[in-house]
Amino acid sequence: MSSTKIFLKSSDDKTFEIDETAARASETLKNIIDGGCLDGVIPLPNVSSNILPKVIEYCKKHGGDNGSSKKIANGGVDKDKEILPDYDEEEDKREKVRVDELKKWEEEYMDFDQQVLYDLMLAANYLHIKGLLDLTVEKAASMIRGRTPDQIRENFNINSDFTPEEEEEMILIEDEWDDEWAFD
Amino acid sequence: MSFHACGTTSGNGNSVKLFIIAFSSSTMFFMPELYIMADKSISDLCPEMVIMIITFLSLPDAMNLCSLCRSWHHLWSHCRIIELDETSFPTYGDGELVVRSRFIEYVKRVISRLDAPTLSKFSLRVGYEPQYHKLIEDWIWFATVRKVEELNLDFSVGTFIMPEFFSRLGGSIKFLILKSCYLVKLDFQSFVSLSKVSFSRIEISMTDVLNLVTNCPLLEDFSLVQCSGLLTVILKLPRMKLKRLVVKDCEPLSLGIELTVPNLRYFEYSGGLVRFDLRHLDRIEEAILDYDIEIYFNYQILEIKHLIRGLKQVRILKLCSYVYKVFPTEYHFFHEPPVQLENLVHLTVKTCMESYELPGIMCFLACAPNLRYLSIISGFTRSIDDFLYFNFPLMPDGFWMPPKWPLNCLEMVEMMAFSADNYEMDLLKFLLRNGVVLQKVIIKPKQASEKNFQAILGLQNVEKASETVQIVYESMS
Repeated sequence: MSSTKIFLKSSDDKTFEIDETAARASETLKNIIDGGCLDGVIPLPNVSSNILPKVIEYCKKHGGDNGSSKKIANGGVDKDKEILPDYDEEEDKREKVRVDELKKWEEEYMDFDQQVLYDLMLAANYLHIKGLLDLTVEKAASMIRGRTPDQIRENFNINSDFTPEEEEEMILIEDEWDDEWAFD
Repeated sequence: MSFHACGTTSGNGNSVKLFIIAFSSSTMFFMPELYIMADKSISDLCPEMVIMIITFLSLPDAMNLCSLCRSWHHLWSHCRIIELDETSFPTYGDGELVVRSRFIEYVKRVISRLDAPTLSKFSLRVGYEPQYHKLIEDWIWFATVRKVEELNLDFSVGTFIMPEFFSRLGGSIKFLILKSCYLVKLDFQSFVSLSKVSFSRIEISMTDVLNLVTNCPLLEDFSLVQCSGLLTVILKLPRMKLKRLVVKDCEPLSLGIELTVPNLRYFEYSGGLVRFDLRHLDRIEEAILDYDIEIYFNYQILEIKHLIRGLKQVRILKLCSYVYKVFPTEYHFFHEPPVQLENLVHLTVKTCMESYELPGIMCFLACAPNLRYLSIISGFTRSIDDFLYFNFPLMPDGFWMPPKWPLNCLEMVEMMAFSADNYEMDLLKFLLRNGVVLQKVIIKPKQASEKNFQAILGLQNVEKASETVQIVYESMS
């Protein structure tokens, strides 16, 4: 394990330290590191100092591994290993404990308000952190699922870009299947 | 070493543009230009990010979201979770056939607009009519060539014959849920990703089952519900990954069920009384056995002993009335437990709460020294025919005396559909008198009545082995 330190500068000129192994969770930072730019400070003009520590926390937890708990639980199976007759039960248990622990960590990590969610989603996209992007996008989706358009609008404080006449028409459309607008 | 960033901006600060960072080492990287500003919300996201959110939403949710902003209007077409259910389509007072034809038109329009290169889920529930056969085939083609991961088809009325191409295009499917279909020449050879399969109201043979389990090495969860044509379920596959098996109301199963599946964690059976041969269920954690038909078979004490021995590793067990009637009562007469269920911590008893079941129930308590939770679902009634065919076990003298076996782990008892009958009260009193670490007794009466209420009040005054036990009344939800 390399313990080389990397310095990241936020959009508001604050500098943060991160281990190289943790930084590699970000494709963007990984490319910069591999490009041989380690003796300077990496400016991140699109990430503010409010959000950068949160991103670093995620990277520290995941190191070089790019997946969320979901990915680890469902995907990435080694097929050859999976069909072995007597797979190691202890290993199976350890894996389950690890996934459970990670899920719990993610739950606590993702406990924040909408503004942070928005910023973190953009930061994850900008820094190409697939696991964090999946987590934040899934959280945004979970805040939409099963809600009416009005509830979504209220929840996310979405400003309408429809004319008042169109608004009126939209209000009349209450049935979720009555979505003629979608096929315009 | 130094580097600098440059790029272009547009009127819409959130649109993704190429942002070039140039390094002194002459390496170049491309980054999306996404400005983060204070107090912005989801509505300020660029279309690419909204599409990302949509990939996690089902079609109605995606449409709801896209109805909110003009610029998002057509983004629902990127939806990857397609759920189309005729039964939730508005009827506007029309008859079934008219509604169905409108639903079919709707599905046609939706599918013609979908843009996503891959699908996470395609679920279609529609009553089958031959005139729609070609369309439905086209939709299945649409989903399978888009490498759908979950395919759920329910043709609740009529039976749809699965197209032949389906057998070649199953490579991406992880979850396959089929209801009311005919499987034609389906050997599952291409279905290498399958991990969960559920077949309902499908004619299926043991050969189909064997093809499935041998060709799908990742299969973990397999359900057969109301399937016909199945004479037997024999799975002798020590190498299988199968963890969950459900066989519900399948017919005829006249040759019984034989399982040698060491990795199986969950087994559920309901239906007619059939022969079971359960061996090497070394990792079984939970089992449910529920025989609805108890009429034409003799009670076989040896068979039921053998069956329960096959489940000796279980932690959670739910058993129906039949088992208690048949379960050997040697313990009461000879003080010999017929089987030891050392791991059992939660037993659910589905019972008529009649005298002929109590010796069996008591015997289970004796066989499970580490039992912590006991759930009793009372109030089942038994077919009159059953009384004509069988003799019942007797309750020996001194039945409610303090047990000769320990009842020192039981923490919680829950009795559902309580009606304050004598045997229910006797059993609850017995558990209160002898359960030394009992913490809670939850009683859910079948209906709120003065008799039930008084009976529960009366329990507060009976002798209790545990000082801290609480008796809680809850309504049936």
